[in-house]
Amino acid sequence: MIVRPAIEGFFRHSVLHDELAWRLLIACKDDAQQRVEVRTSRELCGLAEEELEDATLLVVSPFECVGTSGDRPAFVSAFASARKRVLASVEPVGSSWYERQFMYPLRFDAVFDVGFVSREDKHHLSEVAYHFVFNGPTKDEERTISELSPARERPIRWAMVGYPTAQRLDLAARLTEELDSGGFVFMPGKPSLPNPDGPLQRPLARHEKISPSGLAAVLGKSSYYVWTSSHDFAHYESFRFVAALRSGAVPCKIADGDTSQDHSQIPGIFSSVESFCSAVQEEGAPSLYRLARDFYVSKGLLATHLKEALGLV
Amino acid sequence: MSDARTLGSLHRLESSLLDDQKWSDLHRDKKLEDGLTIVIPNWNHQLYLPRSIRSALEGLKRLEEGGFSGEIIIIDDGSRDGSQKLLRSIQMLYAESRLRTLFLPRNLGLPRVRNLGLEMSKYRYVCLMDADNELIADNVPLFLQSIIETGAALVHGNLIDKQGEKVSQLLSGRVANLRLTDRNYIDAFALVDATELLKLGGFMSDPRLYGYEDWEMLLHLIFEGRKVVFVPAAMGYYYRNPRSMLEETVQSEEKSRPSAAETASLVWRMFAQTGTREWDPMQVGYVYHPAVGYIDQC
Repeated sequence: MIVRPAIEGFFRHSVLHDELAWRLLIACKDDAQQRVEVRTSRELCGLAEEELEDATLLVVSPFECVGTSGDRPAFVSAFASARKRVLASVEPVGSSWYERQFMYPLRFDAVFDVGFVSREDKHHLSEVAYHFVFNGPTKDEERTISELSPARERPIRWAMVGYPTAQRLDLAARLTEELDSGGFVFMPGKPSLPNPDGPLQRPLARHEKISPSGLAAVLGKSSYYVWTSSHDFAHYESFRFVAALRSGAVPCKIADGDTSQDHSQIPGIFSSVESFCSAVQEEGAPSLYRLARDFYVSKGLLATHLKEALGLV
Repeated sequence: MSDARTLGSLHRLESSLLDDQKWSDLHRDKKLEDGLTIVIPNWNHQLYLPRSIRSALEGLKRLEEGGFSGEIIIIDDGSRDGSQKLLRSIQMLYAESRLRTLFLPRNLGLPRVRNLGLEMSKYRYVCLMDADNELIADNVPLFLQSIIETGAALVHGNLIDKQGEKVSQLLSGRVANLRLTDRNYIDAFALVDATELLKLGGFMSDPRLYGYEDWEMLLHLIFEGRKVVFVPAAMGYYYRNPRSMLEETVQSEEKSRPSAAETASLVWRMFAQTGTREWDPMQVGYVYHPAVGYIDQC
């Protein structure tokens, strides 16, 4: 049973966590032997003990789940009734926001770190077993990606999406000046609470970020999907890679420091803007796309990796 | 006040201050729809003018390559730094291009000069930029295409806000929503539909709104049901100079000067009555790109 945060509630709902829950669901369905259902944190509170006693819970974003459950004691109690409890995480292992997921009195049997590179060495919680799950394609994605043959030129040369940091602003300006001024740049900023002295007392979040379908529409017209991390942890944003490939765009991460060496087997990681621009000029989008696709498809389905990890719990 | 009466009062106000000009020659009632007028008001920005004008001229070239027409109007608002001499030289240099200059005998202030630019524009669509801004010429046709295709009253894009070599933010890079009633985050360096703005009376030149006229205009457009569209591409560079109007307004806010607080309070009284607006479900901002269409539109 996959448990995800309920959309209602004070806490803002993360698109990334929705995407993770969705991918886990499809992966379980791809493996015909897995019985699976998705419940929101609020729905979990209403389940009887006997409905949970044989279940393995895959919990996405426990921090938000508790916050949006509407009944914290009921959520904790329902959680404890399950046969096995697994945290599904996409956070950089070792970061404060990774560790924050274990803050609540929820005893997990294991954590599934869904990504491209194992970070077991950074997992310091000995009481919770660590299992790496490669974020491979679903069956549908494998078929879609294999059939895509991106054109050399798309109307939007490059796209960047995310909240602004100094590095991202600098990257956007440099790509505008050095690669192509017509890049798509959507960096709306982290939503802030309203001015306490101002007139509005309630956050108005509409249109402050782009939805997965909106992003897919943009990437479907873009040659390169470019990003850089918003933090210094060694971490690869596998969901961005997948979003790019699904839409026929080349995933490109600009990383400096150790990260690019750590992740050297992943195609599309560039140590500088200059090296990225050179690759664009010399190799072009179709060739770079093929490299990324071949790497991804060769790693096997998410369903296979998930099944293996579940077998270890 | 009806549209015709609003326009009439605007004409009387500005024509009375242009003794040496033939107002009837300047004013364009009928505006063409297949091009863009770039309006650059100038007040003592002689040193920045070459950069802004060069970028606007480049923008005209890109428009022509894209099958559009264009013109540039530079209005000197009674500068005392020798800007007029430079502008006359530039006008001589580009005599054959579509560049017009207007020299005001005395300072009218930015909102009224912008209104003049809107009145004088040959084209319905106008790019408002300051004399110390720089347009990204290659993207000018993209923004013109966007305002034509969406029928928006205002289209804004990312403004790369530079302090020296450092990029401090992307100004205007957020979609218009009701947070705008709290604080403005969209600069006037944008494309506007001159006909629509003039119908609504143009920029207010009320001294109580000094430095906040853009904000008032934006909210006025929104609450009159006009469309404001964000195009996620780079429109230009915003150079933050120590004495720029934005910088003075920000400093004034940071120091909590009574004037800034009073102005914000005035705008809130006009547009953000607590207990009503925060619950208003109206859609105020749109994201659009010509290659994609509307993004995330419900």
